[in-house]
Amino acid sequence: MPATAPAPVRNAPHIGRTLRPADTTLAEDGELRLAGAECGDCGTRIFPAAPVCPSCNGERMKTLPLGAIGTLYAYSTVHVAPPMWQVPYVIGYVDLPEGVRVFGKVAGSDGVAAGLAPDLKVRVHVEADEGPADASPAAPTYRYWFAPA
Amino acid sequence: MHANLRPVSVIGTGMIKFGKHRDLTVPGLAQPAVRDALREANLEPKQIEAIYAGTATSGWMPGQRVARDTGMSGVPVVNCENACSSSATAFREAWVAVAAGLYDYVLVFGVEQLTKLGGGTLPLDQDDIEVSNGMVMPALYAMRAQRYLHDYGATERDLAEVAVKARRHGALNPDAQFRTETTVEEVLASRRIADPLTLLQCCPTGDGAAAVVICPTERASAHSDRPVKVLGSHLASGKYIPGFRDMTTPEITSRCSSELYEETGIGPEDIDVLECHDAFTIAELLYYEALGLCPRGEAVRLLRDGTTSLGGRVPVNPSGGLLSKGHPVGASGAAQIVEIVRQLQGRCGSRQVEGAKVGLTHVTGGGTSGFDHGACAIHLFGT
Repeated sequence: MPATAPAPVRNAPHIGRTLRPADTTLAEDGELRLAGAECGDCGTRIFPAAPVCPSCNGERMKTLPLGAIGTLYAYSTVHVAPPMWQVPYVIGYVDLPEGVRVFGKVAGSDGVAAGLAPDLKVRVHVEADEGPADASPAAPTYRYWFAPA
Repeated sequence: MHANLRPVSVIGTGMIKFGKHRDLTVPGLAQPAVRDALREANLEPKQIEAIYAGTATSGWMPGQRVARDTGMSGVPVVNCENACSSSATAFREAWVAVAAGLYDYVLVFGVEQLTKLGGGTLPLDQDDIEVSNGMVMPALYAMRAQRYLHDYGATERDLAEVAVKARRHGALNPDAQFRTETTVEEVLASRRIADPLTLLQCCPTGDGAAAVVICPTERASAHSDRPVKVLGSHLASGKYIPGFRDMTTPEITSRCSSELYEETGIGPEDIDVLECHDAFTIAELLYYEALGLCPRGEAVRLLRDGTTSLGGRVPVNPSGGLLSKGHPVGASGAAQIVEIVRQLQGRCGSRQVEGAKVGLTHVTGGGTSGFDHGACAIHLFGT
């Protein structure tokens, strides 16, 4: 056991699912962003990316970099959840300029939704986590959450 | 209705009081409801030709486990899992089989023992991207509620009034889990679950079972002096809609009900009584609109003016609904059918909807990203 066990980031109020590297992209400004997919046949856009289009079953899916600023469609502070989650926490749907709606945790202060409102502008934060030090080879993982822009 | 299908009627109903029955097993919950339904239909177990069982969390072969100890083992058994629509789906499959002429006497039951899961929110599939990011069912409805309040100017008190009505109706139902009335203040002051929803705005953890027996209408009068006809049955599944969608429009319910109305020629104006999927307060308001009882944004008016209360033009959830009668998920569809059949038979005592001739049951459910819901089953019944 390492002297200091890594913090259980999965349970931190503002952290959700681990992303696959393919769900992220490095923008021109050097920031990490989410990446979805666009169908080369019918134009359907999705997040997360999938190898086949859910609308037309086409297989020509291309990477779709997603914008960093979106609109909060709805959110809720959750007070009762399975034991894997530390309550309260805030979740919400964010509409991104590319026409994709993304669900995730919303960072408030200690799970409190102070200052949030429907239609608020929020930023999508994507964070690299280098993973456990003994991982070989070291494989970065990524997480995302939303916070007021 | 499809021209090549036989008319089908309900000739027997049974249900146990919903509540916390930790001392019972899944078969133990279902068997009294099954026996009551058979007795009411004047049928011996050996006359049942097939069994359709609906449940979401009861493990393998629930239908066989119930049949084993009720004298019906050996007949074809179909076990249906379709989240909260499980036993309504079972009913539909049974209806298809009888209407098609495959069987004459078929038993349908739904059962669920949620107390064995320990309470709290329902365990959802962690493979789903939203679930693995913290989605729980109350939060999904909470976000619909927030958006509905934002878009249509409804208030948290309006939401609470749905629970108050449910408990007022449930107090009149001996089979309901909650049999006491409540107030707006008490609802709003109850424990917070997922803002803006409080505890008394969420269906309770509970156990239960309900059963019905169906047969061709031409044989029904030999078994019941008040058989109830199945006027229509429709099942829909979730449609994946990537991108932006209006979450205050319950897409699967709108689609399922409009297709059923078109198939049967029966419209919302013809319905005298209905049971809908009020798993959370906001749900009932959204379903008034999706089922066509009123235009978009007018559900609160319908609630406030008493249209959907007992004594109103179209009472909704006279049984107390999922909020008061309880919601043992796989049992709810069958229990709604039991309530509507008994309403149409005039057997509901102090919660009777006088003169009810046409009734509807609506159940949906299943939390999966990209869907409004995973499944929806709607049935129409008539005298």
